[in-house]
Amino acid sequence: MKQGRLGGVSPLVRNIVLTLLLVTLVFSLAMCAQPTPETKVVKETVVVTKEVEKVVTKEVEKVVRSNEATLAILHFSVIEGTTWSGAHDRAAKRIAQKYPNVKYIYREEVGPDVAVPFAEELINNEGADIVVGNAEFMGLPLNDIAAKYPDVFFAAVIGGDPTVGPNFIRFFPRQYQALYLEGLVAGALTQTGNIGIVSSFPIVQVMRRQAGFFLGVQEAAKLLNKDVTVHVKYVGSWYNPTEERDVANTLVTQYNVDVLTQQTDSGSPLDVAKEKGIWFVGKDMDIVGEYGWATTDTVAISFDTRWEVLYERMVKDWLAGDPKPENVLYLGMDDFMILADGTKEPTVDIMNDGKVGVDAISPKAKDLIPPEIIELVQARRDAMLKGAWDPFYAFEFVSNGTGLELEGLPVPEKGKVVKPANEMPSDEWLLFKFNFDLDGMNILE
Amino acid sequence: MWQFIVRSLEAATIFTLAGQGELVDQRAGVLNVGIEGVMLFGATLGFIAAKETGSYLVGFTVAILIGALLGLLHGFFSITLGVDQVVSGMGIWIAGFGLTTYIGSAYTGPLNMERLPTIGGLSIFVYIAIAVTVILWFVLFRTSLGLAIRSVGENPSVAEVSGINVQRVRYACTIFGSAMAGFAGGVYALSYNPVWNYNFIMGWGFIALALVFFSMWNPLFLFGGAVLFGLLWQISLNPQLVLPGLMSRYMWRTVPFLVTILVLVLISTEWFRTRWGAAKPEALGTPYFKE
Repeated sequence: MKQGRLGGVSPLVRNIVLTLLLVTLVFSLAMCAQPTPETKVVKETVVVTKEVEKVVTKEVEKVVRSNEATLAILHFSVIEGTTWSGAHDRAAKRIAQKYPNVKYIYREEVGPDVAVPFAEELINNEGADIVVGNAEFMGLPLNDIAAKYPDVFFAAVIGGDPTVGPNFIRFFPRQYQALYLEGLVAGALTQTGNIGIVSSFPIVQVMRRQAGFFLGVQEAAKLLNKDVTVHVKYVGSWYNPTEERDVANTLVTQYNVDVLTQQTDSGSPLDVAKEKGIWFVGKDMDIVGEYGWATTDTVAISFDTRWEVLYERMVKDWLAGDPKPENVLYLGMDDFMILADGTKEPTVDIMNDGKVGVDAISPKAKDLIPPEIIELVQARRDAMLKGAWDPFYAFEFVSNGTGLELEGLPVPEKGKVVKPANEMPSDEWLLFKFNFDLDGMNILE
Repeated sequence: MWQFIVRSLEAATIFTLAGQGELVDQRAGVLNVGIEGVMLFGATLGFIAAKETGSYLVGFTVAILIGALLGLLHGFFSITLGVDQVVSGMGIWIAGFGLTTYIGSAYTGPLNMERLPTIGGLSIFVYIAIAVTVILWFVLFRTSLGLAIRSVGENPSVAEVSGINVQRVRYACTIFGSAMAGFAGGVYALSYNPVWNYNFIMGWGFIALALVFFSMWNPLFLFGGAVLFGLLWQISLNPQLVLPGLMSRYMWRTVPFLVTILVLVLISTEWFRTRWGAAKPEALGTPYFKE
């Protein structure tokens, strides 16, 4: 019988050689294969060893994804010089800085009518993996295509609408915490006992933020035995520079306001504060340190929103292959991100002229604020950074009888205690059902 | 109440300056619906120039010059080329919206310059607006130049026959009207609301345009209308201070436009035409080519 090429070799050696050849072939094929950009769903068995040395198996669904991600942000306004989109843009850049495998792309001035076509263009042409609408009104339409692109995360800022989906994430920072600290400063600073808010719309997001500020004002007033009124006047728009200016003027000239803040987006109220020589309290971004729009002689305090803390959660979930990410993100001062340069920053914090904490209070304003308020700001900030205290837990919510009637949820009558002190409302309630102003706020026509 | 009047008059000033320019333009037969865009250009470039140089004079000069330049452009399209004046004007408005957003974004924020002095508590531009109104009325109705402008807007062929250079008059009026719109934008950005924000004119150019029709092409009526619009604007912001409980401020906002519609209906009636004469320039919006 004619022997083959390995005919003279012992079966053991032959088996070893064949096995090695087979292994080499498999590895070669694996090495030659290009990493596929396509994703697929696989069942992965994860072995978990517990301390009792009992072995359990758990089956989880995981999506195999590329280790690179593209974060696309649809900005409802222009980026440059804005406190809202400017902060979102800065956040995405900070994410890309920390994660070299994350690319940031964007579109500006995206309205609700073009949010979907822009999103599809970014997904199909630029490989967007996470698409964010940075305002609710133009972010909600993204839910319409969430099912069409199951492997893409869509996200929209929460204004008051509760829509969520498996891959449609809703998110918002607990800005009310920083606003409460601002309220303490504003309440201590006012000499006339009148504080004004140039506001946008009476919607849940705005009423919740105003409530945080108002609670701070009330606490400072109580501690200092002052009678302080917070006047709120709605512009009916997020952005209307002319009307914002006139509303701010009205608050100052007709209501004797000497501390002014805003829930709108233009720089007009700040300019009125400067012109009239009164204090201004900033929001969303450190407008002195970031843009230099004014000095700390006008801006008593401001707060800074670090959307990157929320974006980091989304990016991590996407990279981890989680097909069902956390779809409501409501992060506060006790949630952090470590930036590329090692800086640890909470989701929101009081910030002014590049300084944080009590140092963020304007030096000129600090001289006018009693030490017990400064100490209180410090103590409350520290407690919130640790997650040990929250104004919405500590104080009761008494309705002013004004607000926004929602479907099946009328505005609570004036004087009704909607939430007692020392009880934390659910995130869902805070985000979607906080539909009234707090008792004592003067809501102007 | 004084503050209420001051803000009303200051708003009226901007309507007046832009509106009077457009009135002269239309009296010569050229319609410029793009004054919102011209105002945006004037406001943005004037703001940038003032911020960069620290000089209000430079800011206002740039605002007026850019307005004049855009007037020349609109004149070229609508007078020389004879294209549809509405289309040309819309082009200027859209370009103004887009380009000023692009150019001005880096300058977002307050002007941070010492505010211009006031006279008797009123902005100096209130007095300028009153002076412009009186001068324009005088020129239009008491001088041969005014007669020439009006005749070009009524019947350019007859005007041409009587020795008036129609093209030249129309160009001059279009450039003047647009320069006034640029100036009005400058007043907005450097005095009324000296904070640059994208698209910050927010429709005031269209209010000025509506005022021209409201005024029946008379500078004095236009000023009266501007004051009325300024007052209604302020009432719409603070109805509780003037007429509490009457109606929502958002309803008040519509009143100037409802009044304009009523006036337009009124001036189109036979009664009005026989009582007051046809006010609208007959050749408004119609290109003219020398036969």
